Amino acid sequence: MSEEEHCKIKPEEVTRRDFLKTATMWTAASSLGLALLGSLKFPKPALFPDIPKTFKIGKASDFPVGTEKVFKEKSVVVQSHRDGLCAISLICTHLGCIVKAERKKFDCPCHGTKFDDEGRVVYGPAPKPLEWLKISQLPDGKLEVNIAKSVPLGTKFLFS
Amino acid sequence: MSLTEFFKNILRLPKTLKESIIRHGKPTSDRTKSEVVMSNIFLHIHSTRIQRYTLKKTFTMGLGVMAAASFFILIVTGILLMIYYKPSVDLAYDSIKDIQFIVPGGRFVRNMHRWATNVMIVTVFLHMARVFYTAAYKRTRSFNWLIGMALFCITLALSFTGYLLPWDQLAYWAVTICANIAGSARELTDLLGITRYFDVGGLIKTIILGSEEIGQDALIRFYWLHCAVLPLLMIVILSVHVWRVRKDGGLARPDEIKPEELAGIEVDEKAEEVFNNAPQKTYGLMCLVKGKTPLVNKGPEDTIPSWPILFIAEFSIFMFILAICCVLAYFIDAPLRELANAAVPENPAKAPWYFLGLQELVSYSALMGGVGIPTIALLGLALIPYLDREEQSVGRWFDNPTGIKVTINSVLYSSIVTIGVLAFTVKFGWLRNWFPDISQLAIILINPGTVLVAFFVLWSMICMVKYDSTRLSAIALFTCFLISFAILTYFATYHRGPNWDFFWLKSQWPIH
Amino acid sequence: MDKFFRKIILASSLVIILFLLLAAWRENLSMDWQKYQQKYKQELFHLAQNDQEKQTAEEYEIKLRQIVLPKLGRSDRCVTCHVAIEDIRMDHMEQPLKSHPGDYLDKHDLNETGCTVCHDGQGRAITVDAAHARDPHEYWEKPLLDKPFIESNCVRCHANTLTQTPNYNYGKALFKKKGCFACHSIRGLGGAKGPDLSDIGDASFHVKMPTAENREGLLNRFNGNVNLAYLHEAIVDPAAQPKETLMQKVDFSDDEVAGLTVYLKSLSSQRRVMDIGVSEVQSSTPLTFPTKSKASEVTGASSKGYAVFNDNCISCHTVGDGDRVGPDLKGIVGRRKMKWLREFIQYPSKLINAKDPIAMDLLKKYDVVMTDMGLTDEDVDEVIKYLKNPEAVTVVSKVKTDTKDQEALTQGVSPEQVSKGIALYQGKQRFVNGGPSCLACHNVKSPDVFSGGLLAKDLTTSFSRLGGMGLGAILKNPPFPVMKKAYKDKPLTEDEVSAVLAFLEKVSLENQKEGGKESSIEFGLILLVIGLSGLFGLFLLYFLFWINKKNKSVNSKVYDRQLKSEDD
Repeated sequence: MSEEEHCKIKPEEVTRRDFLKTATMWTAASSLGLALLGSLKFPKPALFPDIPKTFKIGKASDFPVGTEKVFKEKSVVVQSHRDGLCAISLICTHLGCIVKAERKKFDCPCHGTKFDDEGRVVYGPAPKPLEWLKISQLPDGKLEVNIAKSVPLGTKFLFS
Repeated sequence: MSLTEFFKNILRLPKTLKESIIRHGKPTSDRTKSEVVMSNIFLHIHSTRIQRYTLKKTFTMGLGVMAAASFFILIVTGILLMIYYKPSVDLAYDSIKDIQFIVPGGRFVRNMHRWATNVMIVTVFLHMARVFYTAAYKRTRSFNWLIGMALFCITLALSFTGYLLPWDQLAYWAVTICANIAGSARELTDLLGITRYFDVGGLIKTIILGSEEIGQDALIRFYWLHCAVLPLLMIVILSVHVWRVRKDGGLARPDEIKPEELAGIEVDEKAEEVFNNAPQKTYGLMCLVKGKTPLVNKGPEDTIPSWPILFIAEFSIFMFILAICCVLAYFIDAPLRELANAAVPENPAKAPWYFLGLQELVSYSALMGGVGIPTIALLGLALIPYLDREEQSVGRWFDNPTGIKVTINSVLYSSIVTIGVLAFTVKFGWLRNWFPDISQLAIILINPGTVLVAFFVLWSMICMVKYDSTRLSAIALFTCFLISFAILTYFATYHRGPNWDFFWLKSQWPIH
Repeated sequence: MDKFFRKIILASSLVIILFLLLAAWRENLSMDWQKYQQKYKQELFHLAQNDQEKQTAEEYEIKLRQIVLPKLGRSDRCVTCHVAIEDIRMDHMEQPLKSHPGDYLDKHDLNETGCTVCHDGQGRAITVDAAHARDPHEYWEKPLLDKPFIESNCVRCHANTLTQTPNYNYGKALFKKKGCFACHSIRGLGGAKGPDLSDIGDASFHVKMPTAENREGLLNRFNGNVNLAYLHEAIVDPAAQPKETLMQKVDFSDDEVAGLTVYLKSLSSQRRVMDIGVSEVQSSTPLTFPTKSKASEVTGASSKGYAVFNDNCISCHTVGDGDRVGPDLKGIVGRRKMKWLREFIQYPSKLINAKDPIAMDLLKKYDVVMTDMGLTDEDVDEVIKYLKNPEAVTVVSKVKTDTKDQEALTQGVSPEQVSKGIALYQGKQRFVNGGPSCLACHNVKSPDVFSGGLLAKDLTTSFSRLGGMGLGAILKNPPFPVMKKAYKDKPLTEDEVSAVLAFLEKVSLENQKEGGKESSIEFGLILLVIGLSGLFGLFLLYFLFWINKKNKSVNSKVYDRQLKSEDD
């Protein structure tokens, strides 16, 4: 390293810094930076072309206590208990396989995770229990499940 | 102690990393300035020192760099657009709409892409004219002129293939027209009655479109050309183009340069030394470079270090073009019409503006206008450096006062002839209107397009005889074609309406 | 020098920064939908009565919204502004925050049908102007439809007559009553004198006429909707049409124009059910629809009159095949006075306007006003000559059918209909009223289906033999005893009939095509010749290479020598 330095001709002292020079450098850099920033935003569209995150499941009267309905396309099971309705996502929290809803338990076919009837992990690699989803009532009385919104495990919704 | 050394190394990491990347000091001395250029693969497309004449603003006007800058913008915006564009007949149009509406900055990027295309085409045209008028195709640069022609063709092909991709009415019908122009060799084979056995026009057309009609196959082919083949070719050939400029000793320049021509350009005090024609010691390597050999320990004649001035100049041109594209992209949206509909033609269906001059000629005869005259023009352009081998000074616009005079005369002549022929055709029609049964061969041979070419060739011959100079004759011919092309393009853009009829203004177009 | 370039950089960079920021502002901060959603959120707070509703209001996100309909290839982002479209509490708000009127959304789930299927407009757009697509200078397709015209989109899905679409129903009846299909055809049914109207609802200024200039008045009447403006003009002012038109101006009332516009607007490629309203008349007298046969040679004394009849009258009248839209004209010359006949053929409207008793009777009976076809005196003479003696014509039909014309016809049939027809035919999809599948009794030569029963006739060429109309009539009202019994209480619906027809049409076309393979043989011959000449050329080339070659291998000498020495 010292050898390299030795070889170099001593740089001349920079005596005067032109204002124009600095200003130019910084505005040019910031304009290109801004353009870069803008194009980094480009790959994420404002809306994704997938099916809606919310879907309607009918009215509360369609779910008498004890019913269980699986919405295959959306991978959600809706159960009606005495203390209200709940929607449980059927997507395994390990790597996103779709779990099989069986009596009082959920089994994941990919890596063997087993969940109990409330979606807690009983056995296997999944790090988290199955997601419970929010059910809300629309002004016209219809119920709507929001796949994007999870609620704490065990939350049940009571509708009239 | 290796352990302490190790921790020291960690502390020194930023410094050592920087030094390993930039292996020279601050560019303050001649040597370090050269090192900046030499040790960087991207900057070393330029030599370490450049002729002061190169920086003369009125000489190149930065046109070549402008074209390259717009090409760079096109690559960046094009790569961005590729994220969303779907080359399928069913999805293409909707994907463009999505880019317009829900992609962050999508509308702006698409507009930029569109406008950079137009800027590139204009600057490529002007760059070619600059090289021609400054005689920069002479001496060792003949082949580079040919490479430039190839780049010119690729530029047009790129913008043409990109024109179809939105899959709207404008695109569909513009490309239909161009595809039919490509297939117009059929006119000749039809005439000879051999189309059944030897259908060149049909072959070319089907190869371009991948089918008889414009459809999914054409779209995917155009996409393939536009996004892969042509850009790759462009980059490779552009590299050769720039590399040859460098190997030819930088830009062309006059043999004798008056000091006042270089007014305002920086001077390197150490480069005052003039070449000795019999140097005692020279750099042997320099034999590879054409031109005179420089002395050891003495700065070459009238040069300055290219760092930083040349790079600042080029960067400024890039920023200038970027700014222009931004302004245009903000105010004017790229066109997007209705979804392509093969059943309902646009009327008038116009090609992209840079092909409208040709479309005007095509309206007289598809074969001559679409194939014949462009071939003649391109061939003529390509052969200029080989046919005009006059020894002369290069690097000055129009060479000398006589050149200026010839150019002005040619501009006047070709304007009058072109406007005259157009006016005549609009007013009186052409052969088919007078003799309805005339053979197509007569139309192919004698139509306003060929008449124009004949007029220009005649003029160029006159100049050749009068001034006894191939260069001046070439100037005359080139000017005639350039001006005529500009006038035809203007005419077809603004004065041709439905059914390719003549109209003074768009508001005069018929209701239907 | 240096300074000059630096100044350019400085100025350019400032311009770039300015315009990038402007573009970012325009796109992210100046959008109308953000204001609407803010307003909706405020209203939610305002209406909230309990904690839960307050929480919902608080959780309401300001973001772009959409309904994606992959099956329909649509993404409707209308709900980005019309956020309250399903919220019945927002009845009192102003657009775009008003809830949807009526009970339409109960039957049409928004997540299944979306908005643009009924309303048109640019579903993908997120600005008011672009979404409503009403600016005639912007080349936007499918502008938003207003009150009466929206009816034309109901028929995209609903086959049966709806009470909610009075204008459409009126227009459909009018189209028949005014005799429009004497000249215009829809899906191959109707006259050929005027343009085909199958997809007329998709036509607009931009595709029919290049400029929207000079048309402000007309466009303003339709809120800038170019499609409707075009249709309106085409109905009201035929003279404004581009080509030399034969259509005459008819004085329609405003209601009639509105009805016809709605009906024409409904005729688009997206329409699933095609029923122009003539089929009810047809079913009583099943007959093929004689199309103008270009391929046939007509000779005989009345051939000129036959041609005139073919061009003008055949869509409504027959000679000896029974009444259709208009009366059967067999023996008409004997029944009516010559002078009256001449006048009525040439100017029917004149007689009707003059309340001529016979004309009024006919109008009462058939309920369709005969159209002035613009015949010359000579035409009328010839046609009367033909009607006097319709037998004096021999039509020699060329064997080769014009496949190109046939193909043009089939293009009107959508592949969905064909596939539905295949399913129905095979019984994979059941007929709504429970009729048995066709396959049980009939056979068809087609790669799409298995061979069927041999109880009844082979249907491969049925379409070309009987035509769409005849087959349709048979399907609706079977004249054959077994078939009649099988479908007695289980008639096919209109939709099913057209699907099965579409399939049979395809089959018959495919078989016709297979018949005409001569051209490929010719092509094969050319290929053979090219191949042979190429081979010959290659031999020539080889010959050129070999001309100086030794005819023995290089080391044969050595080999020979060795052999010799061995001998020794």
